[in-house]
Amino acid sequence: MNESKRDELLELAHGYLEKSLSSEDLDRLENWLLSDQEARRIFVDFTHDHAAMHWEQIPEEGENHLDDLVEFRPRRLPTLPQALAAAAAIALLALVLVRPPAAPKSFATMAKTESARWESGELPTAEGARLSEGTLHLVRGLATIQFDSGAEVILEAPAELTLVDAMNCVLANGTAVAEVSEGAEGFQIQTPTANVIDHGTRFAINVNRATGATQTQVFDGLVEVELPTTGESVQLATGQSNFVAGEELGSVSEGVEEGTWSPGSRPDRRAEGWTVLSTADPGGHDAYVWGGKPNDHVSEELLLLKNSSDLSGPHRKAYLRFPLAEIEPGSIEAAELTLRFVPTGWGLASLIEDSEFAVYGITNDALDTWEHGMDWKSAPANVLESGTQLDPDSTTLLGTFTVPRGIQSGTFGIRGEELSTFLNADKNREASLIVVRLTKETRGGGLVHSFASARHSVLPAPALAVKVAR
Amino acid sequence: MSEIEHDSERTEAFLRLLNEHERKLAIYVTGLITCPRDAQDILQEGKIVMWRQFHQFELGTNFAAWARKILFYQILAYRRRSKRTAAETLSDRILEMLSEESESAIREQRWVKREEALQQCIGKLSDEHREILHLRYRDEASIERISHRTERTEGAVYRLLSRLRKNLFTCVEKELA
Repeated sequence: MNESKRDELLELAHGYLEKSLSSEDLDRLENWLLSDQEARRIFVDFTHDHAAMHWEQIPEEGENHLDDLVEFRPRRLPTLPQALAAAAAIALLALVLVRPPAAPKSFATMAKTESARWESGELPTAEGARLSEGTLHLVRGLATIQFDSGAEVILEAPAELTLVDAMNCVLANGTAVAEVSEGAEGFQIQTPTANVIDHGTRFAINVNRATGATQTQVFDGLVEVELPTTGESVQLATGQSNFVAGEELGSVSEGVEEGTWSPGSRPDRRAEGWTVLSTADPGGHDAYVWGGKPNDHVSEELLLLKNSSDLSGPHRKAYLRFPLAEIEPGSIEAAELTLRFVPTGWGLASLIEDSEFAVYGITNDALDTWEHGMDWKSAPANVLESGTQLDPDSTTLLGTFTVPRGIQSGTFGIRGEELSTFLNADKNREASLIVVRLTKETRGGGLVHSFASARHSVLPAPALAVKVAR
Repeated sequence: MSEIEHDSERTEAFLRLLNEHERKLAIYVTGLITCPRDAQDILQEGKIVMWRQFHQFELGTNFAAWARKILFYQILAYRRRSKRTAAETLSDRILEMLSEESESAIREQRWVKREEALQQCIGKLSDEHREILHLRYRDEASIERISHRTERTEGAVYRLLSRLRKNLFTCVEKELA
């Protein structure tokens, strides 16, 4: 292939990587690859380079820090430790293996029907019938559908359920109670407004026929409710429920410990007396600092947290500042801090223990002037030798929260008297908070938590909701 | 439902093999699907399938080749499931041909040397250009973000990336010649 032809092919390949090809160009690429073996070789070598750069650190200035390499790998590619004890390995597998493969053509059975009446549909409705892809319209009664994956769905009329495969179905309207046994974790029910993903549990979903609004209640276990449009999600544990309407992912109601709450369960922000402050507000600010061994893993959009197992780091601590100018000192009756955690892609979630985080307030107002771009040394109240400690004379502990093992995204935070007291006592009406991770990684190399900063393009910035006395 | 057999040796063998080959498998999948996020999902699901079918794998034979077969099937299944329109991607048929081409590249060990050459070529780039690749690959920044960051127009970033990729490709080919 001559040079100009090759450049033309590479240009198309580049457009393909960037998803910017017109349909004519895509056709041209398709036909070219179809008819020309050399073009295919060039194309796979080109995409290989793309893939290799993605999965490999690009060395900076010729430096190669061992620590970077160790940390980099798990970030990109969850790596399983070589010398896992057998028991731990099996526990790990149970967690890793959450989404079984697609099932063969018929993948469910109509296990039981009670006073059921059906609207004509494409699937058999007799008890014992094998079911494949298609939609069931239940007009009256109850029907129990047993999926081969181990999930069982009891449909309550009136309802419309489309079976997709052994792990997926779509509830267009009506009520379904799902019981998902071991092995079928990851079973997913889609509704017009939400994806409800099960992690081994019994739960109920109700979908409003007119609006598609989705209510999810968890009787036992753990369920994730995700907004398909944004990917935003909340986790529901036993006894919790959630309501999704339109494109609004509702909060998680009840069933949480005092002072520690995960995830969601935020107050109704529209309720009277609540004001929500954000680090994205004028006067607000957020940043994280890292210390210890050199490391060039940075993020503009995320605030990173890490408490390294290695004494010399790298560690990371996050700083938040909320403007309190609008809030009368002493007027705060209740306060809640919410942080929107997101996966960093560092390490397998299953290798992460329950992680405890602490939120401190900076009591020395003179230290409120920190800026984005400060470093480990200039960060206020920082204890340089530690991934957790702060200067006890200028900070006070406001609360702790736990991000459970295996969970990487969701809303977490603290609330309670300490937080309100701290905010009420702040004299210069600027409140600086510091978030640190108390839990050390179980082994070296990676494991970084993060939450969205004020600069995140989609997710909400750290928020401080305060209830002000009227 | 197949029972997960509590056989610690088998589990360890699986983890060890997966650990050894995971990065190469990731490159294989990403090369074909091109979108790193999709690749990550596919790998995740592929690993599950690998574990489920690991009893069929004969120890001592080629794990990576066995795993790639599973992953290729996962790629096709993923493409079918994803809502993305056919208008945005190459056809399954082409994908199959590209996978075959990848297989022969791997068989010939063509990519082992290629990666070394790629590292050298990246080393030859200017700091500024390396930074662009950093943003694109390490930070997974969009062209829009890179354009903000580097104070270039989006069109300019798009063209620069194209040029960088082409230059790297040419440089690698030269190194290997």
